[in-house]
Amino acid sequence: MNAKSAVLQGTLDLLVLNTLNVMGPMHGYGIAQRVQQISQEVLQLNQGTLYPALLRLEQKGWVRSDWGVSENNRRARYYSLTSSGREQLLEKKAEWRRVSGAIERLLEAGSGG
Amino acid sequence: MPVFLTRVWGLLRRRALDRRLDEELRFHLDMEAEMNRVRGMTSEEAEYAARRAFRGVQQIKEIYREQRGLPAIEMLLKDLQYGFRTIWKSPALMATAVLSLTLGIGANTAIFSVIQAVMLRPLPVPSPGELVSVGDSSRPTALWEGGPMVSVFSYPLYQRLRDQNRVFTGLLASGRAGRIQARAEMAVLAQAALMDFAGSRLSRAEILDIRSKTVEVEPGGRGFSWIRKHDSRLLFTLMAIFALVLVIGCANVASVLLARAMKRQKEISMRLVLGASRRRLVRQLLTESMLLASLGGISGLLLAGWGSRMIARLASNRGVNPIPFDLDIQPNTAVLAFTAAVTILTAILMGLVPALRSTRIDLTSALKENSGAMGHAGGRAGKALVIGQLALSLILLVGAGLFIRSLTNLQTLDIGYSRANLALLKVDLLGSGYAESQHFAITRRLIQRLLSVPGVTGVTVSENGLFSGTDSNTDSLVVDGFTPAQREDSSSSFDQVGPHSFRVVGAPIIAGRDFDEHDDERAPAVAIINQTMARFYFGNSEPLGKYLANGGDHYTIVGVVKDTKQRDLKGKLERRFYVPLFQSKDRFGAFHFTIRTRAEASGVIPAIRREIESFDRNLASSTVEPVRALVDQSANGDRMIARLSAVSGVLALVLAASGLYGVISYSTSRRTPEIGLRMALGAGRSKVMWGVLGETLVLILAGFTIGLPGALLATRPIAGNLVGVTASDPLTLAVASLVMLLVAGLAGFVPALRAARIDPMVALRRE
Repeated sequence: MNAKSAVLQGTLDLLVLNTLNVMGPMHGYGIAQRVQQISQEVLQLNQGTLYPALLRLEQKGWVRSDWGVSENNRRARYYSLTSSGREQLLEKKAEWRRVSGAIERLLEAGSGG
Repeated sequence: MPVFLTRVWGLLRRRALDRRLDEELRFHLDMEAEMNRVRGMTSEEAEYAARRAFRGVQQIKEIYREQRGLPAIEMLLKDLQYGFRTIWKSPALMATAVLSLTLGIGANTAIFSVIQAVMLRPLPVPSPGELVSVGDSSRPTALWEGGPMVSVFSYPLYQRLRDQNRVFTGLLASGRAGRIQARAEMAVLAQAALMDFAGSRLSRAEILDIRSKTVEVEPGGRGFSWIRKHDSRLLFTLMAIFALVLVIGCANVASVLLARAMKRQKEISMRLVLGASRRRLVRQLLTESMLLASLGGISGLLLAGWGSRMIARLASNRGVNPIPFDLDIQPNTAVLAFTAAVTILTAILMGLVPALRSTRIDLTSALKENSGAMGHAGGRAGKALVIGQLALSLILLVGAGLFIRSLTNLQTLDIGYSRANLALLKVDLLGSGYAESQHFAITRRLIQRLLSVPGVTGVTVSENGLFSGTDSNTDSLVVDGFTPAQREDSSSSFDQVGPHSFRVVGAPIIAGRDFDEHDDERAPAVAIINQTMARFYFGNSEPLGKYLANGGDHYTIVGVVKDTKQRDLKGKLERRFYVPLFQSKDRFGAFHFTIRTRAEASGVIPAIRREIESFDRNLASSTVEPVRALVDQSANGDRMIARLSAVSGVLALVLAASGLYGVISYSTSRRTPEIGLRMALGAGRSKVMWGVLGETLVLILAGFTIGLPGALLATRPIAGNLVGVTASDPLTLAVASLVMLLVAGLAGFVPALRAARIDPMVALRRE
């Protein structure tokens, strides 16, 4: 996929939860922008897939959504983290670190030998 | 909240959620476009780029929707909505379809609820499993009370059993005070109870004899066992008939659905081309047929409530001794489950062929022109359906014909006496408060009083009467000079009758004499036997003067009477003997008076009733019926089956004919241009007409080819139920075939006529 990598399956949830945790309540467009900015455009986010993901997170009770007013004075749906979402984030972060650490170690061992 | 519930919630609020998503997406795209403009794009470019970054707004919406709600249910709702709309669009056609399904499902449900109430459901009592009936009702030493044969016990024996046995927790007896035939009856009792009762008074040999007998106790908690024996064949025959009607109805609806699916062929092909899966389309078409079937099922259930009451009433009505027949035929879970199962089966049966046919299309040719490959395939399927319908309705017609002929034979059957101008009066003396010692005196006075009624020419009395629903049997008859080879040889039915009984009834005495006033308790005991008994026990030798013994009583045979029927019409003639009522030492509850009238009995019945009432007001509850009506009533089951099979035969024929009409009309209308061309080239109108008629005849002949062997096969199980006609009766087969040929031919004649009237110029212009 060119120079940019597709967002890994399953990591989108983690990215969204983390963004909301750091930035506070945000609308969908804002989340998309933020994810792309932070990853310095390395991660290619298919913006559309963000919305089913948000719905999924909401159904699981990890985020909540309310109508709010955007910076340019338009009605927008704002998403915020719930307390169980915060717990999820911690768990998912830990899990991600465990997995990526293990992969890192594997790769290190491979190049060293 | 579990994810499932949020999805249900999403399903219910799908409109609001759709709006919310639209608004969110619009906001997103606008923001992105705005950003692009800031970056220096033209507004057109900006919007395009925004959409591209989004990758397919519609796709995302679809994914979002699927995740939001329950897609399966949402799809179902959509299909249902669509189904309702298509039904609404052709109300007359669909109403006919629903009506035929209503009749089919309703009739099947009705018969099932009766079968279930009679045979499958336990009696409505607490712990029915603990109920048993004592005695073997199939043994001939039994009393027939219209319902089950019951074994006879003496009253003291019953009392002792009830109070002293250690096996049963309670004992209930029904019926009249019976005669004492102790030895035979003891054998059928539970041994423990019996020894408890009689042990000290029996000889050693008798005790050993009793011990060697088996105890006959049958479960009593399940259903009405006598109806099970008596009517199960009838009920199952009805069920088979109704099942066939339902199948024919299904085929009809299937042709309608098929024809409609063919009209929608362009739409269906288009959707297939656009990527709709075939499964999805089949499911949608099946939803429609399920919808139709459900409408039929619901209204059928309503119809069944009425139908089952009617069937139960027809089955229970039995003359002067009506059986308390209080079936609980309220719809219950089992009936509902049955209806649901039939409905689903119906939907699949009628929906699957059209659904599969109409979605199996050669897409390119189907899209290119209207009358593509599919029209052909659909036409073939439609023809196959019609052939099946014709075959099945022929089977039903043959069945109806057989039942009707059998009923006619039954109604004119020789029962040994004339059923006209005879009435049967039942008087319950015991129940009206008369002491048993008075019974014979009262009976004699009643005979005199009845003889004084204008229009009455003869009166006699008997224990059992004619077609009254009661009868007596013995299996311990001892006959002068005859050695029984098996127990069956000692069995006979019998009655105890008054003076001049056979003259009043009208059964000729073949040899010897009738009973008269002198045959009373002071005179020697005598008996009259019927021809069948005379033949069986005495062959060519002289029966008069020989002896009979039954229980403790010995009789001299003084007469032979012509064979008669007095219990039912269908049973074969059985051995029977008669003894004078006024010589009897038995105790009776009720008596049956047979009254000969000058004119039709029904005209004299009010006068008879008045006479009884003026004799004693307490006897006002006595029942009196014309014997002809009683005889007719005994054929109620046959009458019901003849009527219902005739109705279903007609129904089936109409359905099949309309199916045939539809198929021929359809194929003619498709061939209109071709016919027009042929006519333009000189083909005559009659030739065209015969061509279309030929097409009809081919279908009808195919129906015969399957239907006639089918009828021969299908009527085999009912052969035993037919009177005076064989199951393969050629006349019935011929008439049924002719009727079908005429009606179906007529159905094909209309489109043939229409084809002959085609204007070649108009037809060709359409091309």
